Order: sequence, then structure tokens, then C-alpha cells
Amino acid sequence: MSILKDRAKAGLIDDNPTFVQVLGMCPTLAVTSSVINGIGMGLSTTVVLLGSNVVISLLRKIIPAKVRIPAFIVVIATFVTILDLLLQGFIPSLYDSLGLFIPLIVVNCIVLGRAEAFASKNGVLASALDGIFMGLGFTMALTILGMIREILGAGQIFGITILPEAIYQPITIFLLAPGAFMALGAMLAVYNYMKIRKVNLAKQGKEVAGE
Amino acid sequence: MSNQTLEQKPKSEVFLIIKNTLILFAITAIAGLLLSIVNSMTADAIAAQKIIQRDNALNAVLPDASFEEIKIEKAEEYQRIQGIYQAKDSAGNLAGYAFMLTNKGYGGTITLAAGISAGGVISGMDIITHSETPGLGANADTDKFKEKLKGKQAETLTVVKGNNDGQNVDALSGATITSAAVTDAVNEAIAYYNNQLKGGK
Amino acid sequence: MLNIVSSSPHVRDNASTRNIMRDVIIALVPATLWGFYVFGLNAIINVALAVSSAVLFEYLYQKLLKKPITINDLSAAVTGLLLGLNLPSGHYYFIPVLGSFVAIVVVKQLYGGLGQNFMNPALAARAFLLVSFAGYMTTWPNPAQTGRFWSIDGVSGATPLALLKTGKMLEAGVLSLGNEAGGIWLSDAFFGFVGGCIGEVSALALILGGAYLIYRKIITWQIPVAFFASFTIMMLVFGQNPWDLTYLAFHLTSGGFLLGAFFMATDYSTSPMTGKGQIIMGIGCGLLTALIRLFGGYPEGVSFAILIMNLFVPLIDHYLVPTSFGGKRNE
Repeated sequence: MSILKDRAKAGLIDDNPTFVQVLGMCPTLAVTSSVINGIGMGLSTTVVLLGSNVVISLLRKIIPAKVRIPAFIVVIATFVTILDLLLQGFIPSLYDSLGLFIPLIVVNCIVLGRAEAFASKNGVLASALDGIFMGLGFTMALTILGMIREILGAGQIFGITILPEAIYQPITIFLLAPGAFMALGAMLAVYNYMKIRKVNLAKQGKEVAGE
Repeated sequence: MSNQTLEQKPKSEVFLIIKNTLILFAITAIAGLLLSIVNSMTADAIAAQKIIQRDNALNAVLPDASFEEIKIEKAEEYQRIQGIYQAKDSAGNLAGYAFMLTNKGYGGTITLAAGISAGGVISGMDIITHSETPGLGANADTDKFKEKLKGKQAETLTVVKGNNDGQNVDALSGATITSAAVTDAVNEAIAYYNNQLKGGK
Repeated sequence: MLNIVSSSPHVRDNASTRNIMRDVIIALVPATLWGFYVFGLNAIINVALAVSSAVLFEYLYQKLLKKPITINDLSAAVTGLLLGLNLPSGHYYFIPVLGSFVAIVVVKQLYGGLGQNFMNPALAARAFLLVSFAGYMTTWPNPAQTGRFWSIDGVSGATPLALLKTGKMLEAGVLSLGNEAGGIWLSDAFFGFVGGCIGEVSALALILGGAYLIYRKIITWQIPVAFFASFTIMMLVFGQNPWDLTYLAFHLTSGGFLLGAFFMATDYSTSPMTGKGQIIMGIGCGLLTALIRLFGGYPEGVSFAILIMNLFVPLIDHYLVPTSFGGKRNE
């Protein structure tokens, strides 16, 4: 079970794809204008990550090193296309808002990054867990970002108005690209602040214990 | 990892290239096979979804009707018209026509639907996709703007700032280009209706 | 002051910064008073809120981060004043406060305070507000229609720039308002009886202020002159009415051109250090302003043009700051 804990901690906090690796910035900035889009994009990416990590881990002994990148991309693209078709057929409302960005999961560096850095070197179970938790870490970041932007930029959350125009004028810039950068920058700052504080506290604790 | 395997048993370069190619080919072939299976499974559902979506969009501009696509005459003169649908009410009488239109807006292509009732009145307009600026052009996708077009006579409309009387359409504040793009597209539907459909064809 | 060529950060003692800022405030007095006169009470409230909240945010930020308090150098007050003059005299009183927060905290202090910011704080805040509240920020009470009364809710009216953009006709020096009665005379735009931001309507007041700044050697001639020259050429050649001097005059006297050329583009920490660099900056501002006014989505482009050129300043300085004898250029 330690592998579960290990992967969960890596994906959600220590190696969080957005906060630490700062990968997959295109979907992070482009689709998070609302919470629901953030969750949808995050979960879609999680599904692709899980599928590609499992398959690549299974094929890691077969895929020759020299053609591994095209092989990875073919595997990833296959999963993305399957997801694209399924969403189009069965969850059209989500497909409407994410449509353009689903094919872009193929070039999301997180998916290729995990294939190269983890799945091609580890067993199937570990790779599956890695895919799930990296995906969930990504989803978490996108959801928070979507929440900040939707509240500030539209006064809404999940499309429901919580701040009516009478008391709050939506700051539209947060729905646009510059607002995405500002919100992401603020989130990275908060994440790093908490991380540094934790390290400092741990250091102080050790010093106290040492003396 | 397989570099290590090839160091153990050295083989000729050509053999390696062929081997790599075959493995990659096998992966792509399996992927292609998988995709064709998924595609055939979802094709019907996707087609059904597209019709539901289309009918929803058309019903928004011409309520309580069923639609049948008809041919666009002189399509080269009506570049902005993407599709024309004849609408029948539940009794089977002609209820009007719905148009699928596109036009270039400020931020990109705007796709919209417009309906003209059998009585020659604009029964509604709905924006389907757009990439206009939030807070300005994107306001074209609000009921407030859609109501401005509704109920106008099917004669040429003019965009005027601060005036919505008669055949004038009050422009969105700060978004004249978007207002004009939407109105021009609707005007083309009106022109088509007057030239091709009204004569009882 | 500007002849001293040094690499950033530009450290100045409080006293000299304070003197410069005081002169800038003096230079802005005519435009500010004129704005108060034509737009009335709302203009006073907006400018007062912008100035006081800018000073307050600077104080709070420095207090909170235990940094030396520098509000006495008047730079925050100038930023607040410039922001206030760049706002419409509307009734959303949170607008100047939010703008001051963006200007002082986000654009100025987060990057290290005075002299470290790479964008003009007042303009960046204006751009933030313009993109966020596009409708509000482009709706101006029209002094010609309100009769310059001390009214809180003025009638919104189109500015000369908006009319020029929509292709309204120019006839014998009058910008026709179409079906509405009357028109806008060039003299209205020059003296300041037109709609617009609080501080930008009177060309005369701004020219007086700009002349004072040049006379006091607070700014040099390079940026305003290069800005003027490139903008004029672009408008004469590519404007909707090529080679029409009245058309050009409307473009020069309306909107933020004069305020931008004298007070915004010349900001010390966001303009090049050498005279040559300042000419390049001015030319770039003129080209971009003309491009945005003629082909962009917004009728006004001065603030965006200056902000874009702000980003080029480090590059301009990199190639134009002379190296000392025997020194080596950082490549």
C-alpha cells in the first residue's frame, strides 16, 4: 500500500503537475474560465493519463528506445480520440465547452512527461496509480483556478450567480487570458509560500529537537 | 532499455531499422483498429446528438415546429447562409423558415440561427458559437440583444446606436462590429426569404 | 536628471523624487481643474478616490511587509492622479479604488517598488479596468449635453474618436453627429468641451502642463516629439481621410494622445535612458497608437501603445546604453 501513498503524495502535492512541474500550461490557462470546465478538462486528462500510462507500462519491454516517442504519441492520441468520440456521443454538453481542447490533450506535456518519466520505467500498478494521481493533482489545480476565475470574472460558481451585479461588478479580465496568468501566478505564489513555511517550520523543529 | 538488449546481441543496422518499423507499425495498426471500432460504436450516437442539437438551436428561434432541410438556391450569392430549414407546426402547416448563418465577427466566426415566421416576422435569433470579447461583443449572446431583433419585419435591418425603432437595431455599447456582423447575417436570411421563399415557392 | 545614464535599479533619494513629483503634479493642475470644471462633482470624487487610495495602498503594503514607508516622495500620489485623470467621470466609485490597487500593489510594489516596475502603473491599471469593464470605461458623460452642470448622472455621449472610427463625416471643421442636433467643433476638442476621460479632454491644458515639464527639465523633448511625428505621419498617410489636416487635428486633440505623450510615455522607470532610445520609444508609441486607432477594436489606443513600448524599454536600453571605456557589454 505504500506505493499508493507514495504516488498520491507525489501527484497531489510534491510533484503536482501544475504547481511544481508547471506542465500543461495551455489547457491550464485556456479552459479554466469556469469551474465546470476545469473539472471536465482535469478528469478528461486523468482518463487519458490512466489509459496511456497502463498501456505504455505494459508495452515498455516491447517498444524500442529509438522509436519510443512516436509510439507514446500514437498510444496517447488513440486514447484522446476515443475520449473525444465518447464525449461527443454521450456527454455533448461537456463536449461543447471543451471540444476544441480535447484534441490538445495529445500534446499536453503532462501525459507525454509521465509516459517518459514514469510509465516506461515502472510496473503496471504503479503506473496506473501514477496516472490517476497526476491526473487528480492536475484536476485539483484546474478546479481551484476555475473557481477563482469564475467568482472574480463572472460572480458565479458552477454557473450559479452567487454575487449579483447589484453588489459586485464582475472583473471580466479574469475570464480572459491575462486574468488566467494573474490567477495562476497568485496560486503559485501561495503554494510556494506554504511550502517554504513548512520547510522552515520543520527546520526549526529539528533545531529545537537537536538542542 | 532495449538499447541494452541490442548491445547484448549486436545485429546489423538494417535489421534494427526494420524491427523498429515493424513494432511501430504494429502499434499504429492496433490503434487504428481500436479507433475504427469505437468510431462505429459512437457514430450513431454522435449523429443523433447533432440532430438534437440542431433542432434545439432551431426551436430556439422558431418554437414548436419540426424542421426539414431544404436546398439553398443560388448559394454563391448567399455565402453567409449555411443551411435553410422549412418548419412545419404540429398540424403540418408551414410555420416559417429557420436559417443557419455564419459571419465574421470581431473575434472570429460567429455561427447563429435566425427564424422567419410564415407571416414575415423575425421569430428569433440565437448565437450558437462565437469568440467575441467578454463584456462587449459577447453580450450579443444575451437575451437583451436577441430581443432587439425579435418581432422585426422581414425587411433590411440597419444598425443604429441608441435607437431600436422600426427596422433599426440598437447596437451593443462598445461592440458595433459584433452587432453589425449579426445583423448583416440576419439581413442575408431576410433577403433570401424575400427573393426565394416568399413568392410561395 | 535624464542625462545620467545608469543601469536599473534607479536609486534616488527621497528629496529629488519628491521635487520631480511635485513638478508633475503642478503640470497636471490645469488639466485636473478643467476636468473638475466640465465634469463636475463626479470627476472630483473619482480623482480624490484614486489619489487617496493609491497613497493608502502604498502605505499599507509597505507597513505590512515592514518596508520603509515612501509615501512622502509623492510618487504614489502622482500614480493615483494619473489614474484618476484616465477614468471616465462615472458613478462606479469602486473603479478608482480597484485601479489604484492594481497600479500600486500589483504593478509597482510586487515588482519591487519605485524604479523597478517595467510598466507604467497608472496605464496598466487603466488597461486592466478597460478590459474588465469595457462598457463602463468607454461611456463618457458629454459636457456639451449636460451643459456642464454639477450633475452626478451625466448623459453619455460619443467622443470625437468614436465618431471618427465609425466614419462620421467631417464638414468644414465640424464633426457631424449624424441625426443628432449640432456637431463637435475642432475648437471644442481643443479647449475641452467633449466627452472623454476626466483629464484628457482639454488639449490646451495638457499642452500647458507639458510645456511646463519640458521648461523645468523634468522631461526631455524626445519622446513627445517622436510620438507626435510618427503618429502624424501615420494618420496623414493611412487615416480614413488621408492628408486632411482637420481630421489629423481631431486625432491629435482628442483622446489620450497629449496626456500619454507628455505624462505617461515619459515615466522615468518605464522609458529608455538615452535620447536615441527615447526617440525609438516615441516612434513606436506613435505607430502603435495609429494602428490601434485605425484598425483595432477600440477607438483609443494610446494606453495600449505605451504599455507595449514599455516592454521594449529593456531591449532598447540594452543596445543603446553606451559602455564605459574599457568596459564590456553584457551580451
